[in-house]
Amino acid sequence: MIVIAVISMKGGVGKTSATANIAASLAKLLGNGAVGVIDLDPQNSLHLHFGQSFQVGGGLAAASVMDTDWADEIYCSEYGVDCVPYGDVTEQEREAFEELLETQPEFIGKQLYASGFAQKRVVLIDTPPGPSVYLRQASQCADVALVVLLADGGSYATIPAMETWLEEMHIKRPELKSMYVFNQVDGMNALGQDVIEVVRLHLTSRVVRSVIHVDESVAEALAFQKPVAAYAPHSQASHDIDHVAKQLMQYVVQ
Amino acid sequence: MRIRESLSGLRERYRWSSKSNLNAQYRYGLPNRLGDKFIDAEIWSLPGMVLLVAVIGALLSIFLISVPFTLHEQFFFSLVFGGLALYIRRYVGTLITLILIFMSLIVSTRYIYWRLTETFSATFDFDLLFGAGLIIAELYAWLVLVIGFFQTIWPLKRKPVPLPEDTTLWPSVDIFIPSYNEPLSVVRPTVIAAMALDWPRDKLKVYILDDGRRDEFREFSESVGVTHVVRSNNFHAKAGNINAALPNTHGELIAIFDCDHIPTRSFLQMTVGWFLKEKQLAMVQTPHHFISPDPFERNLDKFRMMPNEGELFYGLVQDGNDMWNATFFCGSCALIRRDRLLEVGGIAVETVTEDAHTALKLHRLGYTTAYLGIVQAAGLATESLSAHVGQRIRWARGMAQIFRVDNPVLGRGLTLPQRLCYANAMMHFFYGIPRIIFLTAPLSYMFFQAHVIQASADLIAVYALPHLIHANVANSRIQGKYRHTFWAEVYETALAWYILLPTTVAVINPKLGKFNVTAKGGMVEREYFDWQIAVPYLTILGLNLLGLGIGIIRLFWWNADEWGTVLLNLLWTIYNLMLLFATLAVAFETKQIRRHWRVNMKLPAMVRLQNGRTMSCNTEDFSEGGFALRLPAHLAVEAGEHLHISIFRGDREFSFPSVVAYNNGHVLRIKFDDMHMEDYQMLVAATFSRGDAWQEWLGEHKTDHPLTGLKEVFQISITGFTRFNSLLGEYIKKYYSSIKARREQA
Ligand SMILES: Nc1ncnc2c1ncn2[C@@H]1O[C@H](COP(=O)(O)OP(=O)(O)O)[C@@H](O)[C@H]1O
Ligand SMILES: [Mg+2]
Repeated sequence: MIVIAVISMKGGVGKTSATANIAASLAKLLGNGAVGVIDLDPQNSLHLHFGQSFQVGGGLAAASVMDTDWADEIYCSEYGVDCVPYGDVTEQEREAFEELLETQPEFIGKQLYASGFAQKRVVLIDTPPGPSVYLRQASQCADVALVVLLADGGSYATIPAMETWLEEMHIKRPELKSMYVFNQVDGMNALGQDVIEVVRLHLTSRVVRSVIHVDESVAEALAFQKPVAAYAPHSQASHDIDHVAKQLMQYVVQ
Repeated sequence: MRIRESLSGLRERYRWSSKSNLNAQYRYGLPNRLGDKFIDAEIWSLPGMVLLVAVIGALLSIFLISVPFTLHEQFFFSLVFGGLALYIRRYVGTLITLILIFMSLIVSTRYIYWRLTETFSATFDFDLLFGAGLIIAELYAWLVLVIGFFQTIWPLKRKPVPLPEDTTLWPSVDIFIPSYNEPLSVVRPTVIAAMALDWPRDKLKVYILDDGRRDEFREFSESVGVTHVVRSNNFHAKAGNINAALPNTHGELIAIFDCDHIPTRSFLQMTVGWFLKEKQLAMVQTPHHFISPDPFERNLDKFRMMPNEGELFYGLVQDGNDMWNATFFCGSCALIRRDRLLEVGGIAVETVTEDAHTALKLHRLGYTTAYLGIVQAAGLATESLSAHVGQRIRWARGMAQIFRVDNPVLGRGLTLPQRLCYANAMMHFFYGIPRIIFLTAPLSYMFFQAHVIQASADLIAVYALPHLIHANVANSRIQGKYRHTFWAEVYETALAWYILLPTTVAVINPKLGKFNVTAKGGMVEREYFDWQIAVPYLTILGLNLLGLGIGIIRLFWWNADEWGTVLLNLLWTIYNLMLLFATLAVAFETKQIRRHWRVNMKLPAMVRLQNGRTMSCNTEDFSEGGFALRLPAHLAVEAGEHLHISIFRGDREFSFPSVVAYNNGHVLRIKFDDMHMEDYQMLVAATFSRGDAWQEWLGEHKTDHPLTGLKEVFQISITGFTRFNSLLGEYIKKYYSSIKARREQA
């Protein structure tokens, strides 16, 4: 099992979309059921990318609080990706869950084994932006931290903080690798191109070579509750995501 | 197209599939294992063994070449030798190639020896006169064959040398772009691409050497920041133009690009390394690659389907020359060391092929030249047949001039292999007379009953046919991907008449004759038959048709006693007719449809619509005006709609605001929305200038099989025949209707 934590310092960069779409792309590559995703974001939006408009069970937060395992919370989507949603929870449930995570730093990692997700080839974990207990849990069990960036000044400014955090993480878990990927890239935007060039210069091979272009199909696909590859297979974003997924796997197995 | 139909009918009947086993890959087997054993054998370590075997081999060869055989003995000998060659030719490896060459040398030389010693008329008569002409042509062909074998026996296949990490060690480079009368639209991309060369900015200077002294060029140079260089006269054309720029420029190396040869950004990275490694090196040449069809390719509709003339030269001959330190300078896409160039007095001006002559002078001083067979620039081919012919006339004249004023076979300073390589390059251009002799030789028998070869038909057959077969098998083996058998004959036939006179004149008096510059960027506006070019061939064709008629009559009805000889000459005539009709097909100038140059190139691309949706696709072709994109699925855009196109080069993305010109659901053609200079630079960077632009374009063709070549030429010949017939038909119709009109008036 390879665990990829999808993280960022800022919100709205496309973490959730990237998680869902990269997972769908990997499922095409590795086969149905070989890829799982886990939503560790209280926004609870990851499952929407896979056509699950209704709530099957209570989601992982509620289940964890009730001390049952996640096996019943797994939703097997028609896109080959198995998804464990965060779930619709009350304020108290969320606080209880977060406290649980606070006291048991390796809770999620253990749950991966308890729920059978450890059989999967790849598991992606979506996280809320910035430092949080979720980020800590994810980075505790991940093999790779995939940092999603926008090609703009705002995202660029968050890189030092991210690097510091990764360095600290690295002391605890030297085996944790990290990769950066650019999302919502616009080729016409000169500043954006410059940002990408500078980041590549500094972080060299830790930047995924392919970028994900800004593409209406991504937002539209979410509205239709499908991965981009299913909604607009010929769109640039769909191709980009395939490339990113492949390059990510190459990097991980190295 | 009756003939073609019946032919394809035949093919189906006999199952000659187009993908026949003729082009099967070489295999590995018994001959290879035997060869390995032979090479690894213990005995070679014995002292003097190599010499001993060489001497025995030489004696055996002399014996095989000169021993007189009876008809039956010669037949048996040919059968064994030919069978062996045809058997081993299917196996892979250089050793096999060398054996095939060796066999061809023996059989062909044996033929020539036999011709010289046994087939001459004893008395001075008609036969001797015609016979002498033929033997001269045959000796010429034999010499070209033998030296050609030598020249290309071991292509060097040189690789680039990496540059040192420390860029301060890299030499400074001047880029010279000479231009005389070409439009700015042709020169512009070259200049932009030269500026984008991957090299330290402070060590790269770009110069437009403008012999037209045009304001438009000066303004353009200023706007992009390159130097516009002019001189007060136009002496010695391109050579003089370059020489005039030498005193005012200072780069250690000089790269020369014809104004329509657009370099890729990696040109210097690929070539300069050798100058740092090899101190005696004076020049590195890279291939000339053309993105537009030459008139042969266009008129025969064979662009990219078979190797063109240049491919043999740049794919094989130059690589072969490089082995012998005899790489020629070809005037463009090359890098020269300034100090060496100054040492020989700049670019040579004594002859009209200044490039080859300059290399010769460098070689005479003991400097080396190198060839790097990696396409690092692309250019436009000559657009009309007459321009093409004009260019070849110039080359032929120039080579003949060098032969006279600075003979490489005799002069000082060259090694023997260099002399041979130069000799072959020169001799190559004297094919005019021999080719015309071959085209008319059988007629001397048909018309005058001259026995140009004094031997019985069966004896001629058992000597000549093995010679032809072995020579073609060996050549096809060496030239494989770079030339298809029999095509060279078509090219030569088409040009023979035209280079005959200039070469002869130049040999007699090197100063006579006029120089012509080939026009670039022009256009063949409509379809027409180039009568002017075709007239000499129509004459020879007419004579051959007459010969064919007489031959057929003589075969059956009249004077039918020399049945075999008539048959042999008939076959020869038919072969000549095939070449001549193929040549006629070339003379039908087809229309060039587009105003811009257009390049077929598959590049990763993206379309972004105004509503933010995108489609990933590939380019099909591009030109200065826009791109054609192949769409993977339907895209709802209509002509006139604005959108963005991105082209990817590795990590980089180049975006162009564009307008849809046309969309049929599969192909989307877009025009650039008014391009600014920066857009233009991006376009060049995304396309021409990319390092991988022309990577696979040399030797991309199928390996040759002689019979496939014959088939192709035959098909073209049929095309020429039918086209010419319908042309004649039209003329006759016109003639009749004019007569009719006149009658009605009366
Ligand atoms: N490549 C893209 N092109 C266009 N829109 C995108 C792209 N990636 C994400 N989006 C849009 O950006 C918004 C935020 O994405 P989301 O995945 O929820 O980000 P995060 O999880 O980082 O908050 C969504 O509306 C999504 O559809
Ligand atoms: Mg999210």
